[in-house]
Amino acid sequence: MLGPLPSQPPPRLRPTRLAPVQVLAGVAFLLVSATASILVGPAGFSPATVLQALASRLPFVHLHSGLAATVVWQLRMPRMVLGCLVGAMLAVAGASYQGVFSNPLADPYLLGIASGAGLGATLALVDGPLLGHLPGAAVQPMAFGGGLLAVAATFALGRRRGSQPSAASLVLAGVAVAAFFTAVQTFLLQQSSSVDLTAVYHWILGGLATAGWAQVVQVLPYVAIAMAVLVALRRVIDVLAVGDEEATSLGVHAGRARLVVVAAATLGTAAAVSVSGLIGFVGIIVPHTIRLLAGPSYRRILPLSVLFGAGFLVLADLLARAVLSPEELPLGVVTAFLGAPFFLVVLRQARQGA
Amino acid sequence: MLRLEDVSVRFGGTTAVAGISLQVEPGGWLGLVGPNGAGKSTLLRAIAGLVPYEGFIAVATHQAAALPGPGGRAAARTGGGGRTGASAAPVPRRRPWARTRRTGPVPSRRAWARTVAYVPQRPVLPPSMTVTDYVLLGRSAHHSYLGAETARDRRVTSEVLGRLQLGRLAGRRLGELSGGEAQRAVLARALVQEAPVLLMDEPTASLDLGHAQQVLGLADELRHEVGLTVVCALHDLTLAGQYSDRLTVLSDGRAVLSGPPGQVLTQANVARHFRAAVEILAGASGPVVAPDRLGSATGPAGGPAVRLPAPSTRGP
Repeated sequence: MLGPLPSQPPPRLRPTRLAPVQVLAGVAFLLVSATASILVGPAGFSPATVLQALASRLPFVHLHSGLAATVVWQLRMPRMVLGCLVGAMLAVAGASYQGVFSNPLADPYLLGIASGAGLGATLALVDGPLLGHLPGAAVQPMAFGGGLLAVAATFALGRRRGSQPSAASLVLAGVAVAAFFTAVQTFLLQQSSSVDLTAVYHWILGGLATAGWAQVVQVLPYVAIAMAVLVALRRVIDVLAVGDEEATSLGVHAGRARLVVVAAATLGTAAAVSVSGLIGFVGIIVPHTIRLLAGPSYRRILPLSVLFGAGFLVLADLLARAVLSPEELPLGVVTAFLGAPFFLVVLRQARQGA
Repeated sequence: MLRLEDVSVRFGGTTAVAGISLQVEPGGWLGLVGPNGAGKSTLLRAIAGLVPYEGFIAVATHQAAALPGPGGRAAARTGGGGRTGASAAPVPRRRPWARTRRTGPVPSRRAWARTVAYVPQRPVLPPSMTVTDYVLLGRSAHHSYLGAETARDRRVTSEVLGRLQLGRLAGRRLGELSGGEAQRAVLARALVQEAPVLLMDEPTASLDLGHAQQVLGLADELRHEVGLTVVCALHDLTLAGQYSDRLTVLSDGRAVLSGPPGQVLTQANVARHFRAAVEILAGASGPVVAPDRLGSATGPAGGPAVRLPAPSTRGP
């Protein structure tokens, strides 16, 4: 068998690509989730009423549906759209981080964005000695700014002189920054009133209860740009699977690629977190489920994360509204409650199949 | 042609490679040998542009580097062709002490990946990646940065897979390959880079003798077919002698000895630079370096050791 190898005929190559059936499955899942999300709500409209209300705002359609139109177009639609943006962003950011940090546990909050945003929101919500009383509208810009600041601090600390930081030093710096920001936040909370505490607690658990078109318009540019950049980098992230040094020898500057991914993911995640609070698990569970079902290539994982991340969060939000209606469950609780068992089932089956 | 002038690599206060100058002609095979920590891997990584260095590293691109089969491209894209078309390696992570003399245009990392291909000592093999996807990574510097692989990328990859007997394994996952198959996949990824220079760092370290010969034999055939310039670090002195045109012995980061294998691989040289007791036997394809048991003047059975005369030239 050994000895000189004779040439074989060149094989027909089947490189991994996104299959149309996978895209169709993602689109179908998103459409079902979105439709259900529009149809269900505490107002108890019949599906026909909702459809009529939907049609009433379309151009050249003259229908009168009054309250239903307002509820559907001003409450349910923006909430559904915002859920799509936030879910897609968290899933894509999580997937990208898992790729560029070669770390299956990486999530969008890896580099301290959650603690930064949390501190920003806390500063805005708590009547503290630092900033006094801030208007409610300050929460979103403060959370956004806090998230950006935390990641910038992580990058500055993880950097070695004159070079791009390695994945490991960035992750460690992220742990330190998160611990520091959380410490400051805890101190502020400990000093604050119980009313403020409740407000911060609600923000941390995450949710889309305050969603409106204003929030959609606010986050859309950041999320759209971030997702476009990350999905465009899917092949580059695949090259990074062989490690920084080998990727470099193949012509891909690993440090630079990681910098671009972190910048884009941070911008999009900070925007998403600023309107939705800290929703956990989406960034880990959605990409991993896709990875287990569709393989390890980011050519599939990243585009599918957009569709399934959006659909998953909209579905979770629907349950958050419907289970104890008219009360709402915190969205972060639902994503973990739904996602963790489902993920375990997929993991088990993938292991058995392997 | 690969040319190094006075190349040094320092990590902090320690010098890993000190002032190495060498030249390898197109189609030539330079073997790097030396004890552990001599700087072989570091020198290869400097040539691959992976560690900052001082000095000058250039590849003259007048020599054609094409893949087997009719589809091979005539020359690497860096440099304008002709005898003067030299490109210096990129120096990553500039440090204050990295005084680098560079002549001519400095190529980008992508251009360098089309000039020098590198087989690392311990390649990272993502277990669930398919052989096809893995080997196609070698084409990264050929297609556009964000774009998909082109028809040409697929053709070159397919030819190399066939040449390296990986055709039937193209759809397999890397985790399912044997050691020899995995090493062929790594070599395939380097070959699809279509670079005129191939660097190999201990490509046979994890292979049994038969598979080691297979991998080295493939690289050897290809360098004759397409005029590939090979620089290969090997621990096994016999194998190094059999495949190399010239051997350079590194010790403490310096090139202490250089020449044809028959001249370099003598009992005295191995004793001096490797602190090893060996017998040099005359093999059909070069000197055979056979280790002696340290501290024993007699053979394993208690009788006198068989001593053969050391060959003065390389065998046929």
